[in-house]
Amino acid sequence: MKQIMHDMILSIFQKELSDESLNLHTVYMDHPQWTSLRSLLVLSEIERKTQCLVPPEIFKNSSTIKELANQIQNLSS
Amino acid sequence: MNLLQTHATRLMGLSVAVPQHRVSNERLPQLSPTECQELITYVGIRYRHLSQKQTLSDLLRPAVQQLLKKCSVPAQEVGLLVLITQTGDQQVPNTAIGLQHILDLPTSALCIEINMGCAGYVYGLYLVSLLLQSLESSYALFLNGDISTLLVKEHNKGVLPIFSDAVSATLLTKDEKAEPWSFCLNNDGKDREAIRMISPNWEDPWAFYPHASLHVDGTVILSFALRQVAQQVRSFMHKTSCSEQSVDYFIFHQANRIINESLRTKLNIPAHKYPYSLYHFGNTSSATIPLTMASELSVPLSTRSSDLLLCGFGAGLSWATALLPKTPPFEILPIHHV
Repeated sequence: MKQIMHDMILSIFQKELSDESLNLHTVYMDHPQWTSLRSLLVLSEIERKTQCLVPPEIFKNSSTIKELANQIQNLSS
Repeated sequence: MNLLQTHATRLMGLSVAVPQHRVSNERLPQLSPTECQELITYVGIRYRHLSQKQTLSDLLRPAVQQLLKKCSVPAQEVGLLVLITQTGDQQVPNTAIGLQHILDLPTSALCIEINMGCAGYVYGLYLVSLLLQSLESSYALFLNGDISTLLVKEHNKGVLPIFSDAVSATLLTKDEKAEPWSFCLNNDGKDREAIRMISPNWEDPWAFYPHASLHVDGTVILSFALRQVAQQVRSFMHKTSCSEQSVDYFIFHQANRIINESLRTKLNIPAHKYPYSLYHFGNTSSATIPLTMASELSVPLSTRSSDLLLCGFGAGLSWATALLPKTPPFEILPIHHV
């Protein structure tokens, strides 16, 4: 289950940041394509695909994609 | 949920004005060409109308004068003026009373100004409808909108391409046969900093302070929209027994396309009942709902009766939903370019 969530969140980031090289250890806020527009796109896509509304503080306080995916996993379980 | 109702009020006419000066988001010095294209595609805003030193009153005057003329209501018969804005002509005195003089309304007309943002149109309809019933006069003017360019500074590339200037004037009258209007109005100051003025000097965060600029935290607003706003609309529809089928048009505040589409999808609203004015006019604060009526729905709303669900949400944070059932046709003037 956790792996599925990791893959799903990673694929959202890869699509929205147009970067296939992203991995679970990427610090997403440091990515050169990261903007407020991207953050909205990622957040709305996560909500659409997982039916889980990520609180903005979790989104802002998580460092890596894996850390965020784990938090979302905790929220949905 | 606190369901509010008002009675015996009818919309007579609507008039919207925007500044003539229009800019395109296709090329902005603050953004790369790719960012500009993405802005148009995802945020859904191509054009914005910007004031060239025009004040709120400059935009409102022709909109109101032509509205009163079209509806054959003499200015001296208007008993109430409510203005909702965050960018009046100056801080002292208020702009509502200035407009009383500019528009030649009687000195007995009750003139009130309220500071509200994007939820302001729905709040205003509620207040005007309530106040009108307590007056001798049969007519009320509800004015709203913002010169948001006063709040946004050139360096603020996250906010600059979103906001645009517009005002609207709505003429309301008493009508004993009108269907009751239902409202749900909420506020929560906990997240007030998500939309706020910031300045290098924190002691002076005023709209009119030259160095202050509007800050918007998009992720908080998206979360707010999908949580509080969506929940309010859903509960409201349940309580008022309306549905996606029974409502003719869902006229929502135009924040940006990502937020609005997320809301629409969550609420299962059919796209053809959910008009957008963002592409041509941007986010015009409390004016987005009347602007969407005037730009996208002028034919149906002026020719046949419609069930309208309005929803505004934004600074405060405030969020408000209204149902105007069986709204009879009303005058909608072509958008004024001032």
